[in-house]
Amino acid sequence: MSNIEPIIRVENLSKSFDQVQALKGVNLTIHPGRIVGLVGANGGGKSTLLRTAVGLYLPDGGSCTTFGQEAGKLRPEDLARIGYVHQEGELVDWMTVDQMVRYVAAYYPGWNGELEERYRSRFEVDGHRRVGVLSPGERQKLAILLAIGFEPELLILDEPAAALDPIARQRFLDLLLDIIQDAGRTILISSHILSDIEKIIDHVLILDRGTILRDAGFDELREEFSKVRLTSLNGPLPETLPFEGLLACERSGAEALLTLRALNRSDMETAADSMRCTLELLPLSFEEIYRLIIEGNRSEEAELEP
Amino acid sequence: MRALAANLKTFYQCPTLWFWHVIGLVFIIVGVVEPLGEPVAGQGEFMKFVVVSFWAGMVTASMMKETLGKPLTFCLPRHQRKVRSVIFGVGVAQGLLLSLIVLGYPGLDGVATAAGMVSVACLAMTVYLLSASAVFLISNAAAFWGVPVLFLGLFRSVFVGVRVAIEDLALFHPLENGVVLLPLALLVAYRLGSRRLARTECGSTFMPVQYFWNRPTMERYNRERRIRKLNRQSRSLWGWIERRFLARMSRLPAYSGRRHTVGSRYVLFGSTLPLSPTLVLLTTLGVVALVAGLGFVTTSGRFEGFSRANLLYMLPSILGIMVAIPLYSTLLVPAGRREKYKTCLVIGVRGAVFALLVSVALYAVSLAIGVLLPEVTLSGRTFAYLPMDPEPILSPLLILPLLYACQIGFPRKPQIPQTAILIGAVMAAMMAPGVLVGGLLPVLAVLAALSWWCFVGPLHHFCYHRDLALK
Repeated sequence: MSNIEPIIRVENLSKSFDQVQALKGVNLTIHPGRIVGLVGANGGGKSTLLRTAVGLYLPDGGSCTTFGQEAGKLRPEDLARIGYVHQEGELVDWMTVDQMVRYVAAYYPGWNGELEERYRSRFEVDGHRRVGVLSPGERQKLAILLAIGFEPELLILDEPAAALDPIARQRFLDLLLDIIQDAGRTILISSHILSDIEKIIDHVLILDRGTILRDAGFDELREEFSKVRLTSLNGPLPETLPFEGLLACERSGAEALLTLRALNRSDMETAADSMRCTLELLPLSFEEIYRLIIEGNRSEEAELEP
Repeated sequence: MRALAANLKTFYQCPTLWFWHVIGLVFIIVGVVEPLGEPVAGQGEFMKFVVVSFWAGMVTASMMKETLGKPLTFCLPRHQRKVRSVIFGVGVAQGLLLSLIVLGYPGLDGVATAAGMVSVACLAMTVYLLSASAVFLISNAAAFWGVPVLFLGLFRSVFVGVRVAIEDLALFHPLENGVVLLPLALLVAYRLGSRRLARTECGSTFMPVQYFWNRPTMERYNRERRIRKLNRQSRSLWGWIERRFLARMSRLPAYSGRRHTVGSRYVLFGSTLPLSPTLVLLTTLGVVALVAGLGFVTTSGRFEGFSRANLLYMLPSILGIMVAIPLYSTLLVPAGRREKYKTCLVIGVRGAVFALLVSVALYAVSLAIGVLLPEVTLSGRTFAYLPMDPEPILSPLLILPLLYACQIGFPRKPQIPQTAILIGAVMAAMMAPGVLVGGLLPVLAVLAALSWWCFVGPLHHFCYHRDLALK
């Protein structure tokens, strides 16, 4: 994978607004064909990173290249390979939905009318309504349509599902899965709804207060953390549990729910046997993993503070 | 908190409202202090207080209308009637205060002074109530029409005989003023206290005068208003316009800067094209009337003998504010920074050319009217029509680039520097009307070149070296 030219390469990127540093020395690479989830707290720098990747923002320091070109100097031909859904969905309010679609389509010779039709029927987008009176969810649907209609190689979605209702969100995820079927398509999606994006992403970037905390494959991340239920067969559990990498422990009589980092299953089973306990591996959601990483980082920072 | 106290908070809570308080202070100084500084009877100086009343009525009613517009106001006990109390309370206070101006009028005895005070108080209250009523009756009267009317009211030399006549009416006709005020006050009091008004205004789209500077509110208001109008427009006309632009786009090379320019012009066209033929006609007639009226007023003092109609050369520049330079946008279309730069430049130049054409049209109208209008005799004085001078036709080339530069440098609140520039230009045109006309065309050309540099320089810098989306 590393020999393939990345679609986005960010090196030591920093960006500030007034006195607030939105990005602090961010490094990352995004390779073609990946579905990358960019997650982080509000104000963590996600939108700033995405806007820098499409050239709307210029870095204060470091560099950001997209399609091998400095992002701030992207040519129209390069920009025509990028679909971008912005969090607030800037659109032309006076146009009707139909007019807006035709207007954006006029920029792209390769606009896919069939895909447009399919999307419109799936999302029930009313073409006669003015964009300015659409609800946030409807605007979001339109913004997504405009971003995918020309089948971009790189799709950047900044909180695309935030304003959608549950049904529309599910349809949107199905649509993304359809899009993913096309080999070579790269998607960079930022979202707070982790339960949604965990179904589609294969790579995770966790951004917190302008810094990348984790840049890893999603499966790799899942393997890094585990949740197990320990049940004693012989009275209450001992005071201290002999497990390495224990992050959290919730006790309830003879039972304990343990969250661990870097689980070594055989060692753990041996330890459980010695305590006459049963061990049950439980699924850990992306949201739980995310919380563990963020909280772990915050407590490390707190410890370092004088 | 009592309802009255809650209402009064609107007078100071909004920071931008302080701007209007400063404007009000200027009007008070001009309207009250100036005539008292050099009290001369019979010159029309003592009528200026009506400007203060007009301003007070406009601002107070705007705030009360905003209060009524809040979704929950209708449900609050006795809140609807507090609007009436506040409007009348402020009105009576300003009327009584302004009546003190009579004390400075020379040569009045005790009885005449007392009668004059009653007369001024009544007229001030009448103007105040009319101004306040306009805010409720005419859609956004205060925000859009209030300021121009205020500035017109401040012109010292305009409407010579009228000024003297108003002063005479204001000071020496207490009975007539009282007779006019009484039914008006009753009518306004009835209307302001009615549940119908409260019901109509509750939740309505209104842009209070203090939000004139608030870009998001202004944009939201304009958007809703325009969409309502657009929905009434002929679909075939807009279909034709759309086809024309899109066909042009498709004829141009894909991903070219020219395609982006045409696309941006289409967006701008749709957001600025006047949608009401009646409004266009009325505005045109109004401008023609102003050309005719101001053509009879000439300057005095150092720059003597120039037509005041030259001030109307500011109108094309004011129109030019509507040309939005499409620099900051998060709608990603295939246009790089170079294409955006060229598009902004083309749109700026086209806007200036349009303003120039309007200037030429104004001059042509002024000349045409001159053929038709006879000399007018008023109060024993004869006024001859003087057409506009041709040299200031080029003034949009001087002013517009500066207004564009404000959009680039102050994208969140361009209205503030733009208004300052326009006020400065109007003041310069009023105080030194001969500068542009008196053979200083080379100076104008140099200034215009500098002005364009002020636009193109920052535009280039922002396009290539700054963020193209607002945080």
